[in-house]
Formats: sequence, C-alpha cells, structure tokens
Amino acid sequence: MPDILSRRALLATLAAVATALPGQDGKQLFQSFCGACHLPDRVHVGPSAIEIAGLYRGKRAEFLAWCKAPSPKRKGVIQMPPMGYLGDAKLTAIHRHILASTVGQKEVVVKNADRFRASPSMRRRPLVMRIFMPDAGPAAIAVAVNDDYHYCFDAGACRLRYVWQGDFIDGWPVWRANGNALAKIVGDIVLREPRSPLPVQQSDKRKFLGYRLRAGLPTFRYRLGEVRVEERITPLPGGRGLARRFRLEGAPRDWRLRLTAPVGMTWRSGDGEFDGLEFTPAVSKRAEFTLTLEQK
Amino acid sequence: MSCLRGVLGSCILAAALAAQSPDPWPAAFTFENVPIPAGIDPQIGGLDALPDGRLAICFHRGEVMIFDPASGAWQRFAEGLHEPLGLLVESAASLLVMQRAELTRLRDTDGDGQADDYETVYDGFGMTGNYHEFAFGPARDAAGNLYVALNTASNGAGVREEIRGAWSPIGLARDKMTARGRAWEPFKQAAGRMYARAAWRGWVVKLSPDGETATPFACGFRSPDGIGFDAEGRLLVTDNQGDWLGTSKVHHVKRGGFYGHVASLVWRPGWTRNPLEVPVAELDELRMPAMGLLPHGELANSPTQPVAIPAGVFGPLARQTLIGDMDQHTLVRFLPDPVAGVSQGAAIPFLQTAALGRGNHRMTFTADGSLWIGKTHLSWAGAEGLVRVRWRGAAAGLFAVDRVRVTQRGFVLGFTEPVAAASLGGVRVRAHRYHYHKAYGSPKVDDHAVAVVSNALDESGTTLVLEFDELPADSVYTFQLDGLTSRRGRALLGDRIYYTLLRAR
Repeated sequence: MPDILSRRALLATLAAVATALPGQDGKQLFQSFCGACHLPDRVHVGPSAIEIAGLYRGKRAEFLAWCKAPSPKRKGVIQMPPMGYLGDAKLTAIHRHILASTVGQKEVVVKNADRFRASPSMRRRPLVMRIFMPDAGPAAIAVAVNDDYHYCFDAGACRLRYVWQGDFIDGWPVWRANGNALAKIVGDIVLREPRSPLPVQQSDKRKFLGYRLRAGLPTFRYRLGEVRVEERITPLPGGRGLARRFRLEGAPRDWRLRLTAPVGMTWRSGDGEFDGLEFTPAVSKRAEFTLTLEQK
Repeated sequence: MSCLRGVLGSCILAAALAAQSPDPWPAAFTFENVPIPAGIDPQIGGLDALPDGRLAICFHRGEVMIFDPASGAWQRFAEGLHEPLGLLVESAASLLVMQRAELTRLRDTDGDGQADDYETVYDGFGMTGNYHEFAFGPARDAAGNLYVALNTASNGAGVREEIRGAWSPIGLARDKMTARGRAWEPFKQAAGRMYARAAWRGWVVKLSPDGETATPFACGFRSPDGIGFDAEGRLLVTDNQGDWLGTSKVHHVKRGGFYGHVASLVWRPGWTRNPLEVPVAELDELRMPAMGLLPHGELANSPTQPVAIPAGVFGPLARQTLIGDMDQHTLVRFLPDPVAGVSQGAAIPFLQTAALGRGNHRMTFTADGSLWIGKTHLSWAGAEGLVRVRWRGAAAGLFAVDRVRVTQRGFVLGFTEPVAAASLGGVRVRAHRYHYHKAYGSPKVDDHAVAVVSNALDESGTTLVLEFDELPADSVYTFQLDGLTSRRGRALLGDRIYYTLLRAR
C-alpha cells in the first residue's frame, strides 16, 4: 500500500501521525481517567478543561504535582483523588491535551440552583424527611407538620430535638452533592429539648422501632429501657400550635415528665398536673396522655 | 524508509479497520431512556421488580415510586428516606430499603398503594455523620438471610460531635476527629484516607430472616456499593479503587474474611493496633485476594451492583453475572473460574457503548427479559435516570466469550458462535499486577506482553486454546481480541478479557 503514495504525501501523513498520535493519546487518557468529572467547557464534578488550561498553561510541573497530591481547594467541591498512578508520561499527555483542546474556547456558565425546590414531593404538607439536620444526631428526621410548624426527631437518641416555626428546611446543601453538609432550618426555633422529657436513665438502652403514617403524620415508636413509647405530634386547629401525644407500655407508676420551656409558647394539658415544667399524668391517663404546645 | 513504510502501512490499516468497526452493541441491544416524573431528582439509589412486573425505584431525595412499564404510569409509594441506596422487594405491599441510618421495611397495610408503616429492621451500626458513610444492600440469600454493606468514612471531612453507636478508640484522638474546615487539614492524613471509627463501618453484616439477629460477617471493605448473589449463590461485593485498592474489585465474600481495606480491622474482636501502623506484609498475609480485579480506567473505575442474568434472558449469557460501573460507559460481565476452592475469573466489558452511558448504579430484570438500569452520580462521575435494555433476539445474535478456563499452561476461551479462524491474528495477551499499599490506587506493575506459544481453534470453532511458556499467578491477564469475528461475520461483543489468576489448574 505505501508504494502507491507519493513521497510528499507520505511525509505529510507521517507528520500528521507524529503530531496526532500523542494528542490522540492525551485525549483518550483525558476521557478515560478525567472525563467522568471534568467536562471540556463547563464545570461538572470538577472545573472544566478550559478553566484547568487557564490555571496550568505553561505550568506542566505544577499540573503534575497537583495531580499527584490534590488537596481541597474549593468550598463545596469534592476533592480530586490522587492520580499519580498514571505516571508522568500520561499526566503530561493529559496536560498537553487540555492546553491544546481549549485554545479559543469559552466557558459555559452553569447555574447552581435547586431545580426541585418547588416540586410536589418537596412541598407536600405534612412531610417526613430524613436528612442530616443541625443540632441533632446523624439519624435525624425532619417533619413538616403543616405550613407553619416543623420539628426534628432523632432516631438515634429516640427523642424530639427541637420545634421551629417557619418554612421547614432548605435541604439543597445536602442534596446538591453527596451529603457533606447539613440541611438548614428555615424559621425560628420555638422549643429545644436538651434531653428526653421522659424519665429515661443514661444507661437505658434506646431502640428506634420506626413510625406509622396517618394523614401523612408519623407516630414514632421506640423503646427506652423496658418502656415502649409511641409519640405523635399533630397540629392544633387554627394554627395555635401543636399537640404531642404519648402512649406508654411498661411505664412505672410514678412516671413524670421533665419538660423544657418553649419560646413564646406554653405547655398545657388536661391529662394531668403541672408543677412548673414537671408534668404528672393523671392516674387514668398514665398510659396515654396529650400535651399541647400553644402560642402565648 | 521501507521500515517506515511498514509502520505507516500498519497505521493506515489500523485506522481503516477502526473505521470499518462501528459500535456493535446497538445492533444487538436496544437502549431506551425512560422519562422520570417531573419534580423528582432523577438519581436512582435502588430498584427491584415487583412480582407483577412493575418496578419499585428509590431516589436521591427519598421518594420510592412504582413504575408500570405496561402503562408508563408512576405512583408514589413512600417518601422522605435518607439517601436510600438499595431496595429489595418482599411483595407488592412490602419493600426493604437501605437508607443511611437503617434498613427499613416499607409496608402498605391498608391496601391504598402507599406505604403507611416504616419499620426499622436494622440500625445496629454506627454513624459519625461523615458524608461518606453510605449504606448498601440488602441482598438476600436462598435461606432468606439479608446482607448489608456499610461504607467507610472519608477524610474529606471529620466526624460530628454527636454520633450514633459505639466509637473505636483506635486511631486519631476523638477531639481531633471533630475538627472542621481548615482546622481539619492538619489531622486528615493521620485519620487515614478512609476510616471506620463508627461500628461496623467497612463490614458486611448478616441479618437473620426475621431481622432479629445481626452478625458482623466479613470486613476489609472501602466503598462496597455493590452487594448481591450470583446464580450459583456466591455472595459478591464490589469495592472501589483508592487507598489499599490498587484497582476496583469484585470479591466472593465468605464469613470471617478480611478483604484488604484496613480501616475496618479496628472492629475485629480483640484487635488493638492502629491498622495504619501494621506492616503491610502482615496485612497482605491477612487479606483474602479479590476474585476479580477490574482495571481502572479501562474496565471500571467505581463498580456498583452485581446482578445475575435470569434463566432465559440474553440468550447464551443467561445465569451469568453483570456488574455496573459509575464512570465507564460499560457494564462488566463476570465469569467465575474457581480452581481448588480459590475464587477467580474473567471480567469482560458488556454493553460497552456510548448508548449505555455512565452512572450505571442499580440493575434488575423483569420477566419480559428487560434489563433496567438506574443511574446516579451524587455529584461524582455518573448520570441520572432509568434505562431499559433489551436484546434484539437470536436473529441479531450475541457473539461473545461465554467461558474462560485456566489450564496448566494457558487458557481456554469458549465462544457462543464459531470463530472465523482468519480473524484470530489480532489476539494479544498481556499480564500485570497491582501494588497493595496505603497510597490511592496503583499503576499497573510489571505490565508485559505474554508470548502465546500456541493458539488453536477446535473443529467446532467455539473453543480457543491458548498456551504460554509460563503462567505466573497473582496477575491479571488481559486478552485483547481485536478484530475477532464469528464465521457469520459478527463482531465480538466484549473484545477484552481481564482474567484474575490466583491459581492455575
């Protein structure tokens, strides 16, 4: 086959092969080892080839050093894994490809916003949402009771953590990536309980058992030592606040709750007696009683 | 000049051949993107088929939806789960879902088509709040036992002050582990690239069928996104290239095994030493080798769920194992070839085509022979949505390697159709190994061409016997079958074979 090529054509083809092969190699390497996270023209998991070219034009050694020992550079962006296993020759070919392929290209700007913020599955009320929450253990459950009142239950500690009034949560910091963040509470905390109001001992084993949904609202069930608890929070009519019902199995006779003072609200109950923030259910109500958290 | 002419001739020939070899996969399979309902973040964490052929699918933001392929209708079954990354159907009214904090049974007790009971089946493992502590599974064995896999934490962040479950005192002091942002930087190296300070991180845990008894089953996992059983009942777990993993792997997991990533050793009963300070040779001695090494950048970068092809599906490939991958535009088909109780075998690209795309996370089959693939990325490499893959059937053919067997001196490859002897000229074999070390990933070590001293196709044309001068073990043998065609002129589907050899016959 070469015999039919003219010498000039042969030289031209050879030159093309000589220049094209390393470039091809770099392109292929980029696609195989970098392309999953780095797009040519826009930010993806990491910066675009255009942006990388801007940072490392004429800086091959710096590029290689970065690839071998990357460190967290940008807030909210995943750290690149070290790529030293590719070796200098391949990394150099990738560097060459990034520089050559981006000449004259312009970065496409990508908007970083929550596309699903207003979607029905996010805006439905009531809504139960398990997500990383501030001021709670990692097994947190956020519950939107209605449009106004929301609370955070902790499935690890088996207790209510806090109640707030406002517009539920902004989960985008968690959902936008892999969960390396906490959701934000949208609103104002009206109650924060530093411990379970039930007289649980530190040594009592706590076991979360799950929840049942009725009218979209959960009834949590858990075990504190030998006591089996059901706890359900529902809205009061007229937006006045919340009702919190406990059902207990295996509770001792002198069961007494230690409540925490809410902000701008007050505890009430027709099922027992208050002594300040201590609540003793009536004898007939020991196994099931309701407290309300009402606006003052 | 004549020498150059030869080189040039080869270049032109190779280019011409490449130009003549269009992507063969779409000729044999169809790929259909299924629209996801508006308003749902279409990253799929798990999916499984209901007995009636509908699919149960869980999404990034916690929804579980039921999709009916017959009508195209979607129906909400549950919501509000925390990063669910695995789903197993028990019945049309009961699903098991693995979310970050627990294995949950979702039950529709009143028959309205929506789950009303969210029962905690198993939450007896720790959480530090570190983002990388994902939870995977469950896989169910023939006796009904369930298996879940727990990810290690990443030193991309520390831990939270408030954790769930037990804390291992082995390693960096806890008050340093809670440092954040810039304050974390000085400590992260000492924490280990991936760490397991909360209970059973880096372990596979076995649960009795009633969920009452949890048994830590095996350890040494880094990021075991894929857990499942093959058609022969082997428990397979995939793991992701990184520290202590020179490349990604598929393991045949047995009780009590340590599979190489060191962080989880802190939860072995009686273990007291910081694994990062134990001599590597000792760790190497302790570990179980992988059944399959999946070369990084070529075959898989981030392997996902193993799934068995059901009987009667995909023609000659029925009952074989498929494994997904997040980064590569391919699945992996795995053919075990155990020798004297040692699990090993061949990994082969499957559906290696742009039509498949990347992000292939969860897979299941329906009775009509469809393979359903759920995609995700979680901001890493990957994709989104649901893809349905169907074989075009016997008329389209499926020319592939369906047996790989090591011998004393080489390998025997079996093919689903007779091979054209004239197309065997492109067969090349290479061998390499990987380092076992703390560093992130490994280059190919000792990568070299293996001379094929004899290369014989049997009379039927479906068995190719390759013999070498020597056959060192503990190596990955890469078979490049470029240009191989069947006698009927079909291109080979999957022209690379990566055989992990631990023991020859």
